[in-house]
Amino acid sequence: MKKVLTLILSMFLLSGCLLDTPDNVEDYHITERISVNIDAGDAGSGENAFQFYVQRGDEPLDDLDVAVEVIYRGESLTQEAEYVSPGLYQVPLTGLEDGLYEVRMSVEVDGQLITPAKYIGIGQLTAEEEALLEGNAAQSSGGHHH
Amino acid sequence: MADHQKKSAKAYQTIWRWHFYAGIIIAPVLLVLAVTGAIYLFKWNIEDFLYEDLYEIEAEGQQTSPSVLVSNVQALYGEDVAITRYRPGESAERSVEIGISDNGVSKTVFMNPYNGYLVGEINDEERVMDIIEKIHGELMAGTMGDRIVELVAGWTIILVVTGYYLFWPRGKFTLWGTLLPRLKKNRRMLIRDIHVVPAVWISAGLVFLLMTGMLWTGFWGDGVQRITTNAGVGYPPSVWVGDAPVSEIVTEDVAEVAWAAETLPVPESVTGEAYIPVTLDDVVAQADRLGVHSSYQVYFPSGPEGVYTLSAFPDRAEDEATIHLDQYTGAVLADYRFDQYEPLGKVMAIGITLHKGLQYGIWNQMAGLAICIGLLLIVISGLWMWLMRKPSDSMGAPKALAIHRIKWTLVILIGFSLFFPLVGLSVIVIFLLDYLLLKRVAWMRKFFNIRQEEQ
Repeated sequence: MKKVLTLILSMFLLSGCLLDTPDNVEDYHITERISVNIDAGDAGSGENAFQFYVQRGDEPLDDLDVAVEVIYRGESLTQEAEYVSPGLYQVPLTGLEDGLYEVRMSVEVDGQLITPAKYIGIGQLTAEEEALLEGNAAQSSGGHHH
Repeated sequence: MADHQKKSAKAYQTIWRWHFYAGIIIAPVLLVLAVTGAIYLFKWNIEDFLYEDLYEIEAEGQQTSPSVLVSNVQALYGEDVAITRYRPGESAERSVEIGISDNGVSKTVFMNPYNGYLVGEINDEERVMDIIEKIHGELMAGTMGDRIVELVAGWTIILVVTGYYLFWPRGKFTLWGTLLPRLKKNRRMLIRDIHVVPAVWISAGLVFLLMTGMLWTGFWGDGVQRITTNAGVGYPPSVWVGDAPVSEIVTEDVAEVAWAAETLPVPESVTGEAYIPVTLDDVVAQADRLGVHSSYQVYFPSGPEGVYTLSAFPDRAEDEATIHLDQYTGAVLADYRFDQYEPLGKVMAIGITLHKGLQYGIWNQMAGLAICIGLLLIVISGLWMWLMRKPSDSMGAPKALAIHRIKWTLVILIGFSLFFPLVGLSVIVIFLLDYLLLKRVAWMRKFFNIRQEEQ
């Protein structure tokens, strides 16, 4: 009886060891994440521009049709961004008033529709705009959990 | 009697005793599993009937956008209600389902996408088929229930094997009493045949259902998933895009997904200052663009670093998809589909849809139903046979013999114990009970038919 019990128990424990084998993540195909950075930057001619940097992993992506919608105090304007340099696209900011802009970008990469959007403040902001910008920044960077 | 005949008789008696006790102990749970399993096979037909008024709508004109429907739900139920999931109707005449958490109560709200109006709501805890599923999977008893179901499934496989040994014709093969019941013989013979004949017909299918059903269990199923994943023969441990996710959250924590995707780690959205989450309309457009099966659901991010999860596990395993999207760009962070499973993973995925009666439509359902009915007949007739000949002062079990005297039965028992560790654990408990209690108390020895000389 004791032999039977010992045999079953030891083999039972041995079978548990099979569960703990190394991870083999590298065996599987991993593709690169597509990411976009949106900001207001120097367009090079003394003017500022909304700029979009698109990459797959670390590789900048060229030859993309980047559509940009800029929303300012309820008014919406959609235009095509121009190619600047590898991965970088922009929409000039000429004649923009001070205020908070909602910049929405849309681009198709590898069959995916990438649609990031961001608030960008230009010049002097009203208290309400400041609050919206700060509230959204806190929310998207982990300051607010819901 | 010759030596080999004596040995054979002892083996028969031992196997019969194990079959006898295992059958009696697990019969109640087996009955529950057979009945709930038979009902669950027709889940989708039953729900179509029960919720016809909520599901069916008239297709009229243009559909409202998903985000407008969600806004309408928010307006109806209040801003405090959390939207948890969105399920577009997979046909033009199907309502849209929106999952909400209303003061901690999980509800499904049905919306008409053509006029944006509310069709109705269901409290998720009251969904009949979900209750049936909970009974079938865990006897409505959480982890303890899950372990009991696993134990019963493992022991049922032992019952099938021991049953075959007991029934196997020792003499000339006859059709009647093997493949067909002897209807004109006496009642005892008829009940014996109702126990044996269905078992002959359904045992292969029953073992298949048991093995595939055990994939859902928290101990054996989880172990199989980990071993096959780590060995690289089942499901990929993860298919994500870019760096490995740092989050330890797995997909089953955030969404209801196919079994294959339950342990897929959830990637994180890349957060940055002032980025605005993509709209639900963008997510739905992405799902269409990625060719996800139309029965998919969208699960909403649970925090700033959370992701949108698209989950589809329709009838056919080949159409399964689990996709995580960055909530700030809509970019695909993980795209996990049937094609990426290794061969054994594909077999398991199809096994699961066969188990649920989905893979091959009505024929699949009928085959499952036949197995459930057969199982009911086997269990009821088995209990009936026992009650017919049970003495009033004992269990009426065959005489106990020390199992180590018949080496091959011991080897088989150890084999089962290794393959089904919970069964192994129960065997250890049985041995301990036998050694410490049953053999030491006189009335127990008599009740369980344990002879003194066999100690």
